[in-house]
Amino acid sequence: MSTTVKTPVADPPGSPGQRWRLPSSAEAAVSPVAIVVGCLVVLALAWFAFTPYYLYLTVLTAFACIGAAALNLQMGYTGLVSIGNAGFMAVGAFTAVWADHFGGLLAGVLAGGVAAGIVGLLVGAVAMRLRGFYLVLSTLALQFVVAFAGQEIEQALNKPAGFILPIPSAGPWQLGSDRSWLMFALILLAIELIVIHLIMRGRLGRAFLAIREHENAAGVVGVNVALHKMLSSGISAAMIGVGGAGLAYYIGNVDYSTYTLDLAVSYAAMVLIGGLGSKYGPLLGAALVTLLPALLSALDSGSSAGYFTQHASSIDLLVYGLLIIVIVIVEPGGLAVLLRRLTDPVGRQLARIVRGTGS
Amino acid sequence: MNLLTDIWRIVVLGVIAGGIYAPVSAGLVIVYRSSRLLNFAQGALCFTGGYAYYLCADKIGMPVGAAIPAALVIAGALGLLIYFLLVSPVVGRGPIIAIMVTIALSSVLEAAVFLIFGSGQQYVQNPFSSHGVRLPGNVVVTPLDLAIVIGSVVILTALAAVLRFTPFGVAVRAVSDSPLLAGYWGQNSTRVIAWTWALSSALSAVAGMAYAMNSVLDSGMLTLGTLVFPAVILGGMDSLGGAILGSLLLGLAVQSTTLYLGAQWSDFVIYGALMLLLLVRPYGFFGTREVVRL
Repeated sequence: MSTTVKTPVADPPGSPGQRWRLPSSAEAAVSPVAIVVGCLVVLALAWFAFTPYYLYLTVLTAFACIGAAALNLQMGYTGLVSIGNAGFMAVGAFTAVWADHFGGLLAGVLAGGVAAGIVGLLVGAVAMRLRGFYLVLSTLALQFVVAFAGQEIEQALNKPAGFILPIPSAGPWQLGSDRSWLMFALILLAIELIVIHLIMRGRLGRAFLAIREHENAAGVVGVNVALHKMLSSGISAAMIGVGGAGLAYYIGNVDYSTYTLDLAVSYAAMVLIGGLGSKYGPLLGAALVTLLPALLSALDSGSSAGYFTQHASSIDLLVYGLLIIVIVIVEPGGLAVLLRRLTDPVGRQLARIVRGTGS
Repeated sequence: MNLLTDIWRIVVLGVIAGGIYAPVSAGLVIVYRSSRLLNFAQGALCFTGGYAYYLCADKIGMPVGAAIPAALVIAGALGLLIYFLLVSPVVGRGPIIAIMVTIALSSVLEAAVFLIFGSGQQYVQNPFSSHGVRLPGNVVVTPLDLAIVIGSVVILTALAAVLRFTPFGVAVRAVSDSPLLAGYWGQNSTRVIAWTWALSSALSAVAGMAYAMNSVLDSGMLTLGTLVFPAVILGGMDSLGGAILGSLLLGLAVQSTTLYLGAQWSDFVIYGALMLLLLVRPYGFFGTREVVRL
């Protein structure tokens, strides 16, 4: 089973030009079985093995995965570059503050998703005619517009330090401990990944992939390019909004200064480091980028020199930048491909052993 | 204050601000033309250029007349380095890669500068007297402001002349049109593109030095690169004249919003305008449309 994207297939005799083979959609998205098993493994680890600090990091990672997987739908599968994550997360979080009065956590998260989705559709409408760098600039503009709106809202409502979200309860559960938060985040992530899986298996997913491979060609074979670009942007934004609202509940505070351009860039970096348009890549990337500061400080705790602790933020930034550069230049497929390269020989050995004993 | 003095004030301050934006925009355009790449690290190049001047003038203690050229040379060398190490491996690999590499470069430059010089604010040597002249309408203009505007005009005119009349300029324009064809005609495309990166970095350093002398050397300068995107889009990403005009308009827009609505509105107005512009006229007023073939 090959996973090559963009392989020109030999022409059947008599047909003019080249044909592009689309990657099978089933190869693209994580399968439901894998999703459920993965979530259960993480939960078991968190329940029995993790210290509170690790648990906290795991919750953050789970929320980062929600954003990265959603961005991958847009950037990896549809080929629309975006650095609008922070903007959509902010829309989700601010809407959650408002919707919380009506029905608590679930209302807040759903309303956050809907609002972000609507904004995503609008941005998609602007981006309909754009590609490449112009497209990125439209999401960059969104970032600044949303940050300004948030600032103005806080000023108008006289909340200079942002809004406080109450500790929520979902039905009978009180979401107080980090374990319950991890469960909540993983449920959201699992639902999201299953939705992405369903999308990528169907007509919609094939249209997205066709647009990624060649916009004009997709139009020629009957894909409504403008509509599907909008849909991709809208669906992805809605998921990012849900994640943003959930994360805001977890942190307990919504302030426009959280949603910086750097945050948006870090999500694009997660997808890119993990592997653009790969199944598990964005999840790996989300984990790596989220855990990087903790990893670095853990490495540093061995050394007694104060230099690292003093310059921790600069060193984080340096390593993060170098990581992106090295990955992009050395292995454009990202961690997903690197990992496969490492595990493939092992898998082949295993297969040989299994075959050997079987015959 | 009546409308006329308001307009006068906006024009004076806007032109001065435009004098800082214009070299940055010009740097973006030159690199976009030669490498088809929108450089998200342009602000970081201003930042490092400012620190190069700080290193020469304040740390080493060179006289200003030597420190400015030295900073430009350092910036140019940095541009060459960036091209060969980072950009040439990823040229032609699509916008996502190009954007992320330059964003990462921006992080690396920022971190490196902070690790070397410390992350506080730095004051740099300002050769011009800070004693301003009060123009009618209560606008104070310092000799530095004047130097920024004149310097900007001189540098950009020289740049335009070089691109138009010298063999190097012809080579740059040829490579921008088609590296392949320019190669067939005996141009070393790689070398020409590398020089455009050096030039772009030096132009940013000019803006960085002006900014640092005008206020202070700090991380606020990093946003200078993204701030001029609307100006560059307005003019059309591959038009030098358009970018300069866009920078002037940007300066005027920033100053008028600051005067009438308050400084916190300027981001909103500028990027809102960018959004509208992308909706209505994505290729700007002087740019060339991208043509995509099946």
